[in-house]
Amino acid sequence: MTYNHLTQEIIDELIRIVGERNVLLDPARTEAFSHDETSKEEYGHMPEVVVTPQSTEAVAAVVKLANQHRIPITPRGAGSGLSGGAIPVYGGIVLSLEKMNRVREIDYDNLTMTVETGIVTNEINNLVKDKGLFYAGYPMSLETCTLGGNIAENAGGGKAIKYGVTSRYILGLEFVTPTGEVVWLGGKLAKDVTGYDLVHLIVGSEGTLGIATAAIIRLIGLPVAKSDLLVLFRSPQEAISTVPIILSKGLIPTAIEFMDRRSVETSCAYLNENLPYAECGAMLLIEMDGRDPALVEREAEAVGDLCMEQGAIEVYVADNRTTQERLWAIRRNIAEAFKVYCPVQSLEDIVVPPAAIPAVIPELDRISEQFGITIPCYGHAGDGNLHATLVKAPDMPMEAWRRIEPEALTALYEAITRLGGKISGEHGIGLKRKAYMKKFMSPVELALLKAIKRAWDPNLIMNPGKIFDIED
Amino acid sequence: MHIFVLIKQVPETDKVKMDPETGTMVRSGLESIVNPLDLYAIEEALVLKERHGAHITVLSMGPPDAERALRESLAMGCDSAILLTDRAFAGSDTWATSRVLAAAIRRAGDVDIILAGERATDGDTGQVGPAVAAWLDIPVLTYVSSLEIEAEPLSTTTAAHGAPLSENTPTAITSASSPVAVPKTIRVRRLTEEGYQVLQARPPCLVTVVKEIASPRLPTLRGKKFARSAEVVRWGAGDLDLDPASTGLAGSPTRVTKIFYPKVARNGQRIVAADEAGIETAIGHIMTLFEKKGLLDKASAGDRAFAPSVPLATASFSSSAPEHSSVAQGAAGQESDTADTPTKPEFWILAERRAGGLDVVSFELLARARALADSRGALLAAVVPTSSLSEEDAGALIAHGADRVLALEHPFLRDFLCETWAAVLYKLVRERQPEVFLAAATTTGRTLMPYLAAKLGTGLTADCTELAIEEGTGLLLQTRPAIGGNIMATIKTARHKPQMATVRPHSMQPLSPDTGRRGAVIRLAGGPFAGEASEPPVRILALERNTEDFENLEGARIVVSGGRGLKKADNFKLIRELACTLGAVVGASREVVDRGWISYPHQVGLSGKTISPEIYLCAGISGAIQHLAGIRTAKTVISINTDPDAPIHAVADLAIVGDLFDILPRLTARLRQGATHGLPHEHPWPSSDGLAPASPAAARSVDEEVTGSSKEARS
Repeated sequence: MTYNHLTQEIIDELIRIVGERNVLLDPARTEAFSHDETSKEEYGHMPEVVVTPQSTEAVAAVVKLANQHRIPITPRGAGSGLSGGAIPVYGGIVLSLEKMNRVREIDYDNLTMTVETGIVTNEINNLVKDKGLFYAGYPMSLETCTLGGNIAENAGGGKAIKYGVTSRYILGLEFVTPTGEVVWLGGKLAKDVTGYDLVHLIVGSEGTLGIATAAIIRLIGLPVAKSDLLVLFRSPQEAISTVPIILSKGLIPTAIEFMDRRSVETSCAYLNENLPYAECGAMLLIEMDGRDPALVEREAEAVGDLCMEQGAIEVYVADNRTTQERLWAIRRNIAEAFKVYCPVQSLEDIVVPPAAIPAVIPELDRISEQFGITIPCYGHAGDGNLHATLVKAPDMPMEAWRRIEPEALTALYEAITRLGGKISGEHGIGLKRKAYMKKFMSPVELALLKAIKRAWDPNLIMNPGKIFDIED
Repeated sequence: MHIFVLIKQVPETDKVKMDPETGTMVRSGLESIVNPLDLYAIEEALVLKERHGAHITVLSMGPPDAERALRESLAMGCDSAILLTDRAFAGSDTWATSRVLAAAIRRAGDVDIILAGERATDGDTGQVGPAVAAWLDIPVLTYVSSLEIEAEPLSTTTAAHGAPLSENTPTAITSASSPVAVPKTIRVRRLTEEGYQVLQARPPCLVTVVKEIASPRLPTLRGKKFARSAEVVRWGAGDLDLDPASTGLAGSPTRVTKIFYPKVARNGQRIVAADEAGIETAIGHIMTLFEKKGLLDKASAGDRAFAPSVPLATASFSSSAPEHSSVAQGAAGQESDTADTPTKPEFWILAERRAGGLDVVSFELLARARALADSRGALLAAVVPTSSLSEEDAGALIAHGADRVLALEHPFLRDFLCETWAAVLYKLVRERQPEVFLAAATTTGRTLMPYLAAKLGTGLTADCTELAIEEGTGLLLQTRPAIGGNIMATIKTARHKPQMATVRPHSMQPLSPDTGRRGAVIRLAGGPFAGEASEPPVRILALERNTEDFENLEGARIVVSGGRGLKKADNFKLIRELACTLGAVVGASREVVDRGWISYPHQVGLSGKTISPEIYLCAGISGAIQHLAGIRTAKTVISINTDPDAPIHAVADLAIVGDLFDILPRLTARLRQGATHGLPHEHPWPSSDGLAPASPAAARSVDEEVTGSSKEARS
């Protein structure tokens, strides 16, 4: 793709639209917008300008200007993405929604909230907590992530098995099209089949179809009680085969997190946590939540009993916050513990049918051995979304790592494709994985994606170079 | 073997938040949990049970809701539970609480070992354990970091186990079915400011444990089920034959008279060290601060580590106490001390000795008590239990403010043993009737004083940071932090004498010694006191002073601490090198101690040490309430953290928003060069003082390694 570069006239026009203090040109300040949570060295690109509009009209005007002059425009939330989705690959304009963070309405009668998408997602829950409500789409990732980013990636997270992913809670969107039109899609409606479901086409489109400037989100009752179980199994097979048994009894945990032996060992060693995991081949961390503490306790016990019936070595129970934090620390510190082992990694978020998880493990072992790397496997067992992370051996030279990383990823993606899985469950394709799309997505499906893109964004200015290369 | 574990249900103190507008504590949303420090006691009981066979009874006094904490203990593996709950118990202070607990243990039957956490994280007194031991008249071993029991396997003939604490002991609580062994001796390592004491005692005894002792296990599903169905025995005042009027608030010698919220934020200076210039500015400011504090003067690094040993009075001591240099035979009551009117009340401080002389805390206490005694028109006496007190030491106490030195001299009193010291002091207090008795809140003071106060039947306030005399009543107003330092309480002991308190070490400067001061030295050797100091029930087997990686944080004048921001254990060398160069002591956050990056004696905070250094520099520590509780009385706080919102920055005098990996190595290097440009002093650092820093080459290698790895991280 070729795009035009910024001219002084365009900069002046941007200043006219959003005001001088909302236009950043100094590379010292725009540098922060050149990368996300992926490696800056590997994926970073500098924007020519960063704008921080404060109204939907200003966003639309900026987009219209960019479309007119064929300048690429990259929308951005908090920059906490893991697939390079907010990186301005072709330079141009980064449009940061950080100043679009107002709450427009909290509707307690419809249990909805209308907010601008630059709002920090965590903040939404702080605002409605006192009313006993919560926004369940919060992916529990970085505390700084914004709703707009969650919408762009259709963020998932650890609680998806009970609460689903972001899309379930997005009822309507205020949307700026790539040509600069403003439109409201959806509404405070529980049902809506009036035409194509564009809201849910936009959710997860990684900012390639336009910019959502506000959203109507669904609120639900805040669970006040929770109980966590840490279950030690002898093998991944035993652990995973327990999951459908739990679900089929009508017990719906908030989270079922899977940790393989390597993850558990590394994290426990890092935390100095002395669980008796010698015989343990895998662990499940299961959380039950609800509004009635007694009921939650009973259900947690029922889940624990099922696990014991399935041959669990031990079931630990945490029903106060301090103990719960101790259990979750094991799961949450896996990534950090491996960073201490070796900071050079490729964090993956493959997704497979949940029952295929045990079959993934030997594949990971095979790939680890073949390439001389380590691949701990942990993640959301309830929905088959696994963070199989490629970790460089500490003594492996960087040149060797750069050579084998794509080969090992290809091997991994091939394996999960054979098992009926896909390459990304919640982080998105973005820049990081687009090279693999041709190999792992059917040509027909890919063609449909590109046709949609061309229909919505005729000048191809909206977050170009993500998910796929249009002319590739 | 029958083990009792004393537990308390507390709010999650380390999650307390302060309302930024009102400055008050936000209690809503706080759960009640088992006091985290009691979990170590429970774990140790379970380990003993696994090793030797035992029945574990867990005991708590509290509101009916405290049953949850007991059930949590049952879920971990304890066998039975007793909840002491009664409206009449409400408002109990530590004296009244320990009395009820002791009555319950007596009623419950035979006991071999009583275990408890070193203190509760809400009240933070550490007084209940020693006081319960005093009520039961058994030895107390505090701050225990490891414990071994020599047990005899149960003989086939004697089914009984444990030693009866009272004549008629219903044994309803003791399960007959549990396997038992009869413990013969108990051997412990006790953590003190100087290292470890290895002590041996005969059961029954009470042991308070520190977190080093064990890592608490998690409750299991099986345990939870047992806990849910198990009976929690409830006893009230009537069940314990206690007069309700003598329990709870009514039966408490101390009374809280005022509660207030301390100012948390220091509103210090903030520097963003994001780039080269910022880093330089930050280092410049730290250096300037060090210089202001006199740390860049030419002095050996070793001397700076601890509060300066107060120069001993050079006064000719002979002139200060001619007539009374030895008053023996219990002459206290009839001493011919004509210079002092007999009606003048006496204020006492406990003078503590360390290897090599008097502990500086003794002089700090004298400084505090001097002002109090003057405003009350009282005489100030320094009480020194010891094998023998040198004239120099006695003179130093007088020069620092004492009117009298009461030297309790006996070979058995050489080292601190709670029961022995308490026996002697009990007698002396009864005879001389001091109005006020203060000790430093050291491991000695915090063990001895509650034991003694229980015996004397008077109140005691722990770890005071302010003391004053109330106008009109002449009573001692004792102000102390509680709930992790989030609130301050002023406490009075209105109707009991002496009014006793322990005082936070290093919360006051000693007076400069006045060599012209006169005072009496009264040596109370032999006589009735020798009889009290009979063969101690606890024996000291060894003192481990130079334990590897042990440091006296409480006594340190400069502390350099590291937290999770160091990323891994190895990087603690950045902290150690800076500390070594500064002559500082190394501290750490709870998180990294829990992770085993550094040992427990380094831990600063609610479940570690409370410190009052001149300078506290911490890097990679976010400043959880738990940590801040330990440093509230630090004079100057310097924080280094990349997170601009880290709570530590709000309480720092100098907050540096920057990367410790950029700042620490350079700061160390700068200090080693000596104060450089912009600073007047240029002293090369002495390298022959034994604490010689590692070579500059070593500093460089650290630097390289760290930058190397962070580069890698980004690739």
